[in-house]
Amino acid sequence: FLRLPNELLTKILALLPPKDRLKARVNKRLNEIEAQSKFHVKEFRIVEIPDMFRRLAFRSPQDFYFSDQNPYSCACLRRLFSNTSIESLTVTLEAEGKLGQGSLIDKVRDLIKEFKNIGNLTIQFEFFVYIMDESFFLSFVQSCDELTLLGVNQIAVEAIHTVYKIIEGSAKCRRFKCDLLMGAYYLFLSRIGIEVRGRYFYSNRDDIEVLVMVRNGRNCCSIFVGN
Amino acid sequence: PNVKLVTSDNEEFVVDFRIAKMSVTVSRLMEAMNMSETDDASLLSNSIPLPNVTKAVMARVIEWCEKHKNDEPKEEKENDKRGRTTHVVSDWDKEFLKNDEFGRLCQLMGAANYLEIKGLFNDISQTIANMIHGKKSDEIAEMFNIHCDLTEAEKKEIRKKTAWCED
Repeated sequence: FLRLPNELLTKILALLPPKDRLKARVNKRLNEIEAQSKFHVKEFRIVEIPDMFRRLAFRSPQDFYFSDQNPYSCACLRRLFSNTSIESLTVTLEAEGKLGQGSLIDKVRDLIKEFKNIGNLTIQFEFFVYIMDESFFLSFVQSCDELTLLGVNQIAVEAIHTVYKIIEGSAKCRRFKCDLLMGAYYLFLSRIGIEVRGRYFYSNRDDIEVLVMVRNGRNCCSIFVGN
Repeated sequence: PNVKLVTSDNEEFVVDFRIAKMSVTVSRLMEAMNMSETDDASLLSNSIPLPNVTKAVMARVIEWCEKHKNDEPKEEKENDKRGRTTHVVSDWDKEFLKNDEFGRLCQLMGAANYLEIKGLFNDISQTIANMIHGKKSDEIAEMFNIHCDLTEAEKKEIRKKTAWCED
C-alpha cells in the first residue's frame, strides 16, 4: 500500500467518508498526506444529543455526535472543517433550547464563518424555538450558499425581513428556506411588496416575480428577485 | 488495425487500435508519432514504448480493456448517501480484481494512472477504498502491514482531535 505514490494515496483517501479517512492515518506519511490535502464530501451530519440519552441514541456510523460531556467535540469539528469542504451540512439540535454563546450551533457558526466551505446548511431544531432577532442568521447567510431552517416554531417577521434585505444585497447565501406561520408569512410578503388577495399573490414590484406552489395542502411561496 | 505496445521488460503486445485508444497516454503518443487508424504503414513501422508498465501488469490491463472496449462513455454516479464520491465497481470488475493480490493491485493502479485509463483507475481506487471502509485504525495498519512510526505526541494529537472517529 505504502509503495503507492502520495498522489494515488490521496485519491484513495478522497473516496472515503471523513471518519474512515481520519482513521486511515496510521503512520507518519499517511498522517501528513491527509493533513496536506483538501477533501470534499457531499453530505455530513452533526447531531446534538442530550447527555442523558448518550448511551441510548441510535448512531449512524458516519455522523458526528456532539454532547456536553465530550470535551473533544469542538477540536474534532475544527480539524474536519480545516481540510474538508462540505456540500450539504445538516446540524440537528436536540438538547433543550440552547442557542446562546457556547452552544453547539454557536460553535458551528464560528467554524463556518472561519472556513467558509459549506454549500448548503440545514439547521434542524428538535425543540420549540422562537427566533426573535436576525443576529442568529447573519453569519450563516454570509458564509453558506443556501440556508434551510427546519422545525422552527416561530420567527419574528422583522428578523426574516432583515435577512431578506441582506440576501437581496451582497450575502453569499442565495436561498433561504424556513416555515412561517400564516399571519407572519402574509405580513412578511406585504413588507416586500407582495399582496395576497384570496388565493392569489400579486407583486407590486417590477423586479419581483412570485411563484406559488401548493405542497401538501400548504402554500409554498418562492420569491425571485431580479431577472 | 493493430498497434504494438512495448513494456519495460521489452515484451511486445499487439492490440487492436480501439484498445490502444482507451489509454489517453497511448493515444497521445500515437498522435505524436503520426500513427493513424487508416495508415497501416504507420502502425506497422512504429511501436509505443511504455517504460512504466511491466509485462505481467500490461497483460491484466489489456484483459480489462478487452472486456470494456464496447462500453458507452458513462457519467460517474457521484451521489452516495454518506457523501462519498462513489464509483460503482461492477460485478465483473470485482471478480476481475479479486484475482490480483494486493501488491499487484497497487501496480495495476499505478499503470492505470500512468496510462490514463479512467475506468480501470476508478475501479481499483474504489476497490482499495472499500477495503478500508468501516475498519478501525489498527485493523487498517494490520491489513496493509504498516508499521506505526508516529511519535507519542503525534498519536496524542490525533486522538485528541479525532476522538469521535473511535466512537
